[in-house]
Amino acid sequence: MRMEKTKVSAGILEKKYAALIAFGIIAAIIPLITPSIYIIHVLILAHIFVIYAASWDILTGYTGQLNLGHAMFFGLSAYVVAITNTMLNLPLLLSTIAGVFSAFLLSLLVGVPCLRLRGPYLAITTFSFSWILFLLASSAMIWLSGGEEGVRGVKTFVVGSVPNYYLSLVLMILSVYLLYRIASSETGLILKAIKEDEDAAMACGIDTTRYKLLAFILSGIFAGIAGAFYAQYMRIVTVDVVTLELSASAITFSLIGGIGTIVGPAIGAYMLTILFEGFSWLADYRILIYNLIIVAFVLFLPGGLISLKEKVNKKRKMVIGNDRK
Amino acid sequence: MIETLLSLTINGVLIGGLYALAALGLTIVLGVMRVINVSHGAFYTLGAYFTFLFSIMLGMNYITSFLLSALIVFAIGVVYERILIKPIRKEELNVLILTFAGAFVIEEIVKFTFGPRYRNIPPYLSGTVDIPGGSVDIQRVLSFAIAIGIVAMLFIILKFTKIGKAMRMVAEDEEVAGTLGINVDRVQMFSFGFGAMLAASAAALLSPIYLLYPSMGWDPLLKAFAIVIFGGMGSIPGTVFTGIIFGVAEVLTGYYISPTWKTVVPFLLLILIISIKPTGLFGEEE
Repeated sequence: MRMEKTKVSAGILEKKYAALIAFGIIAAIIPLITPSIYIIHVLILAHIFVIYAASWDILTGYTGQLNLGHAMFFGLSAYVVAITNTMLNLPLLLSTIAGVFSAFLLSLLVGVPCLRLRGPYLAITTFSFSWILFLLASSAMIWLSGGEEGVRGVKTFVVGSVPNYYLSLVLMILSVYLLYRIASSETGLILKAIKEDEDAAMACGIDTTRYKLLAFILSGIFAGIAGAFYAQYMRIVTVDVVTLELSASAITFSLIGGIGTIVGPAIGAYMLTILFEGFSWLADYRILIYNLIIVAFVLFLPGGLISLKEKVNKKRKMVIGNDRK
Repeated sequence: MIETLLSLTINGVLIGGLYALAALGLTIVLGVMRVINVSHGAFYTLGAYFTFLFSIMLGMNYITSFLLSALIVFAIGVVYERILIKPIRKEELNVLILTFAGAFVIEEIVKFTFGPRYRNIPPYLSGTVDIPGGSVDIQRVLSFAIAIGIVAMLFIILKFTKIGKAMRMVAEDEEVAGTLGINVDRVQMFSFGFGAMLAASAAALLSPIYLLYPSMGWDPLLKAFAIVIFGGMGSIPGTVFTGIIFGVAEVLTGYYISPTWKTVVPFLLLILIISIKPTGLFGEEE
């Protein structure tokens, strides 16, 4: 009895990698076993949203800079890719670079005034930036954005669902890995310190302004990568990419998965994207039930799914401790 | 030329007063509870639909409908705070997510109850008043007057009554207020209900002007956000002044530049002011 339980405890670390490898293998063979293009499509979207949610987490979950308008980075990049590719006839690679670069510039534009802001001021200012972008795309600059019709005819890097699936899978794993490495490094520690107590971090001699701006830039760039991939995969960019709902979904993905862990938001985005599609049989009640689930999570499991694991581990430790007595 | 400008400005002021009213509820909740209530727009929607329910579906007169809907939304706000906000109030981000999801839940419930189609409430008063360069509806003037009346009442409540003083104390310093024997939980519950009621009254006044639909609350919510931050958080004169500025800016942009740009301008103004003075126009330096 006792032996078995100690083994479990020692195996937790290995289990983490085992889970990752298992996911990798399953993800790699999914296109081979399912004939449904629809399922592949949903999974590609899930991959894109994983990058998007993880990029939100580095700024808000880690650094504590409440960003309510994350869709602006995703959306601007997607629009720039689509517009430069279709209207200026730039090669797709150049368009993609332009898209990600525009997200980078936007992160500076938003980040610099936001450095002095805290709490609700910051939240509402980030929100205002994204709302301006939405208003421009949906009405004021409709001649450029195409409004509901969108910008059509974007070229793709690879043709077909399955190649796009693998491309998005690689991009997702790479992005999440990079963000996770940054978050686990000394830089990540400093970002967390800023979140816990900015004044104390400053008192320790940390140039908080620099690190906050770095978090803005990282967040903007990765969201921009997700947006650029989305544009070339969907081949059409409409106002959907800058909506309030998309900004909100970055937050809900992260909350359900576990804010401030990078992996948590990634899991949350993956699961919720699939779940939301899976909810389609609920038809009219889909939005209601989706939001009720979010309310329930905030009230009863604010640490997200990833906190469940910690709870289980804690319980295990307690059991082992009792055994030793 | 000057007359057109004057007429437009008057129209802007009349609308801006109502925006200010919608924003005041948000200011109070922000000041007293330090939470961003994203459901504020949903309470606005509820206020409009309850006014519709009482005045059109049940055939009551406008004033009764107005008062009833304000009272009911107050009660809803109180219950909402007690059940949903209070347990998690210290977690800024969680409150934000919860009230966001809560707003969608309310919106969906409204959609299932009243249907997704557009509704309208006919003017409660017809006739116009002549002003230089044109005329305005008497209804708009009266609605503006009612809004200013509510703001004045709010000012008196905060200044002179016991609950108002308690609210200001809690806004100033929660812990000190607690040690002085103020029931902080109850004051916050009341403030939240009060904020919801202000949203509902603004909605009741604006609903004969605009159309009703389940997602109608987002637009005033976003404007209220901008107004609150622009005017300086927790400042009532700042909020009223900014509400009116936004109303005027919107009408002028709509006329002189283009109707599609009029919704963008308030947010551009906001970003401009916040880059210059991070605490807003009337906000105190930290």
